Amino acid sequence: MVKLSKNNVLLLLSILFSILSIIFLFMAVINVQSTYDLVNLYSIDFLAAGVLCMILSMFFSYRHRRLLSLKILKQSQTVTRIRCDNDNCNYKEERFFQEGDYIFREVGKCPKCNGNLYIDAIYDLELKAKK
Amino acid sequence: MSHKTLMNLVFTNVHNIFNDSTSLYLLQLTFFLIYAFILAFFNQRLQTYLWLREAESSLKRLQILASKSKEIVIKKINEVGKPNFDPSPSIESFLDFFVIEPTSLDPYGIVNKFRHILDVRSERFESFIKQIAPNVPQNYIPNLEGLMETAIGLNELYRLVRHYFILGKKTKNMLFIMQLQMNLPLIMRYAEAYFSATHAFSSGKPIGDGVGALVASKLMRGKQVKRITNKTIFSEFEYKDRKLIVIKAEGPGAEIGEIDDAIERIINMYGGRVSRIIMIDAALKLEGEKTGQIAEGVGVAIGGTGVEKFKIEEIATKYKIPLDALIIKMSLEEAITTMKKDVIEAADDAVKRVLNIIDTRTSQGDIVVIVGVGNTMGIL
Repeated sequence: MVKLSKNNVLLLLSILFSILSIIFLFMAVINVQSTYDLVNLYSIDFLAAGVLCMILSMFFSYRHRRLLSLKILKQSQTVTRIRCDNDNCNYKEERFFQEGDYIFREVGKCPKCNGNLYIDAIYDLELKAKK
Repeated sequence: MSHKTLMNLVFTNVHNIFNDSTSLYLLQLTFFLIYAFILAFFNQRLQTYLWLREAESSLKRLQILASKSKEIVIKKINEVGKPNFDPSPSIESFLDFFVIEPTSLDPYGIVNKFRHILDVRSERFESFIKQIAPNVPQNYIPNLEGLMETAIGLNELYRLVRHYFILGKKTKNMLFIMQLQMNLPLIMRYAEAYFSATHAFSSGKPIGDGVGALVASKLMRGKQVKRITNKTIFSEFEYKDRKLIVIKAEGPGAEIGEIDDAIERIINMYGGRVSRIIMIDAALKLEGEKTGQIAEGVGVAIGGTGVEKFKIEEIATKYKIPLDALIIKMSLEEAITTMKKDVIEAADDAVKRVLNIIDTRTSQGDIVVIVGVGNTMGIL
């Protein structure tokens, strides 16, 4: 069974109550239309339930947003690009950054031409951090 | 009375109220009066309350970021410094470290005073790192200094926001709270950027600010490199019958070097016969501008307190050396966090632009000084 985080539970509750609220409000309108009575007891029931569900949905949505705002964002991935120093060889590889990497560090021999491989660039894959 | 009977009673009463036109009128009037009363007397309080709630939420996030960055500092110091004691209390107290700027009541000689204070600050940082991380390799000290600086920055932001938040809450002064709430989006952007910088410094990744150093490094790759001043290197080589001297901070640690002293020494070494100084640095872009956009101008392209700028301007003016500035634009976040691909690509374009300046604005036999300004962390 999939284990849901607190965040996802709050989001699901918010969605659930907003759907219920729409259903109840819709039923209230249908009831008024079918009975031609603005204040019949059933429509008041449905209206009250709809408003209550809407409030609950707003509450869970607020809690969800608040929890998200306090969460530390995941850092984006950093890539190390390696190149061969032989101008005629176009060997290039990319891997995830490892501690100790720096630009122009020599990292071994080229598998294609046996030239020297060096780190040509280190950069972040994405501009925005993922939530 | 059962639950069902009670509900019926309530609903029947509600039903009666809505059916009776006088009751309905009175109900509407009551609602209107309540609404008017709230609007007249509580609107500012309500607004202040909402602003305070928003500030409180940001303050909580700031607190998390500040404490998390402190944890990262402690973890890194334990990892690389291997102290045989707990460094946490020392780090905790060093987070409140401050620098008092020299007085400007009498501005004469203020640059030298500033320089002196900055040198003392730098020494103090280095000795503190050596004290809490006795086994740290020499080349890792600048990274830890940078890491410590980002933690101090975040801690300062947190304390500042907390101060205005509590002040606003205590005084119920709308002006304080409004100022805080309106500055919060910018403060939070800085805080998130500082926090990302913590990660970059802890693993020694190159940051956006280092693009000037990267351009210089690309130019001096494969050439003989010598040290000119403390933490600053230079390389001298021929290019199309011109002598190029490229200066940058010594990498791959988080150094910015003593660029001003290096330029002064080089110029004095050649008796002032330098034809041109070309400086490359990262600069803040305006919103809407593209990251990595290169702009060209004249003057000393160097940020910071202005101490280095003053010295370079002095020596360039003394020998009437033209100063070219090449800036690579990026946001504040991009400048202090890991380099983006756009910035890496801009460095290649900047190398071409520098060579183009040399081709078009200098003649054979000229001596040209090229300076890559910025933090050289993660760049040799």
